[in-house]
Amino acid sequence: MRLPLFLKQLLKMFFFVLLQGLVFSHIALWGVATPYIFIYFILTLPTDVGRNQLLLWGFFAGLFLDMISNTPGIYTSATLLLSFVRPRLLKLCTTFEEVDAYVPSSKNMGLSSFVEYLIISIFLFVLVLLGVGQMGQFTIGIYLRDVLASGLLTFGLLYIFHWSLDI
Amino acid sequence: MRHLIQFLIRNNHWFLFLLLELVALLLMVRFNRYHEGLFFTSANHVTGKLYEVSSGVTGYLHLQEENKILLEQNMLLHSKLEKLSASTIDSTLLASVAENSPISSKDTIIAAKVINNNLTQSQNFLTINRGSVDGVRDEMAVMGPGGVVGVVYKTGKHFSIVLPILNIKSNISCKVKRTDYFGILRWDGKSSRTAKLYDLPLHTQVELGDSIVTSGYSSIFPESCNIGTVNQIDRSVDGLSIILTVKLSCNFAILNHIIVLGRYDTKEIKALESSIE
Repeated sequence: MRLPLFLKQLLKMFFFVLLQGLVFSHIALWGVATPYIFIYFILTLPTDVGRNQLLLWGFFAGLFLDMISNTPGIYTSATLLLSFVRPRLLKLCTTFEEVDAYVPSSKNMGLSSFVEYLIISIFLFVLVLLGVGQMGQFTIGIYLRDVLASGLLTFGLLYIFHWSLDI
Repeated sequence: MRHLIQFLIRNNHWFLFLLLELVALLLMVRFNRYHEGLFFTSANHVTGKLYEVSSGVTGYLHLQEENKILLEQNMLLHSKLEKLSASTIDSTLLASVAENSPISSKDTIIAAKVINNNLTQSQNFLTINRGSVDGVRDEMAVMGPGGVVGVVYKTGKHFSIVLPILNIKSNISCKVKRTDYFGILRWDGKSSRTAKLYDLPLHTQVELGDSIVTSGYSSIFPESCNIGTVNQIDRSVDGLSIILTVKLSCNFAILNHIIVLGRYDTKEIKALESSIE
């Protein structure tokens, strides 16, 4: 692991987590749709980051966000799960081997593969996050509505993000 | 055995994953015990500072909403203040109206505010902020601090239009207070401070400065409500009557709070009058 790359990713993590915790977590369109854009950081980590390292990135990003938003463990568990399944999702959506080094993007993977990867990851994340978050007062209707709304909004925003900023 | 160990080593990220999930789970469960989880919340110094900075920035984002709330509160307070000041003015107004006109305790008294006032046309009207729901009816008397203002002309649900003395359509039966000679008060459309009292006989005993009051010959105004004072005495063009120029005691230019007076005996008088016709 080269240090400058590590620092760059650390800054990227702080940037996304702060953006999420201070801005996007406060959005609730129609009271149901909250965009979870910070997972873009996990989704676009280069594939040569090792599995254990990926888990640590996910863990600390989630932990940091939990600290900001007073939700101990909730973001952590969902982000951790996302970073755990990410290598498998990439394998599922692309023809690349696990050893190939690339940054997941529409440029590298092709648009349809990237969108597929994005949608599956986002909905998996939102399903887990809201499932854990609403544990105390779980109602299936509200849960599915929130998952759908937040998932679609997150996808829409990340799609625009990806095209306009290419971070 | 070797295979198993190899398998475990190859998939060591499973253990890391499970371990970290366990930590997350512990955080979740332990949060309820207040002090233990404190570090992992915004109560710690770093995130606390972070929020301080953030709220300094995001505070501006809610300005519009806060503005709206403040405005609404302001309006609420304003209306409360208005009601309060209206009630205090009422008592002074009532005193001054009572001074200028005899009000029976059975009469209906409604305090109102002039919200639209015009002096520049020949047919001026006032709008007041009380209507039928407040008890205002057509042809009720309207009094200001100085004396008679006019008559309720049209009553809406919450607002009414008043036909003031300063309208050429206005006809009010008046008399010279000292000698009881009576005539009809009309406005000539010229000055907002004066009106004319017509149809007084030539032998009327009147002097400059005499008080003019309502005659009480209509069902609208009670007797001897203050109108004004005699300013000028003229003969009519045909020479058959006297015309008095009356300086109105009510200053219409600064008219603000008024009282609507409904006489308790209006109905009876009207019924009696119409039975003759």
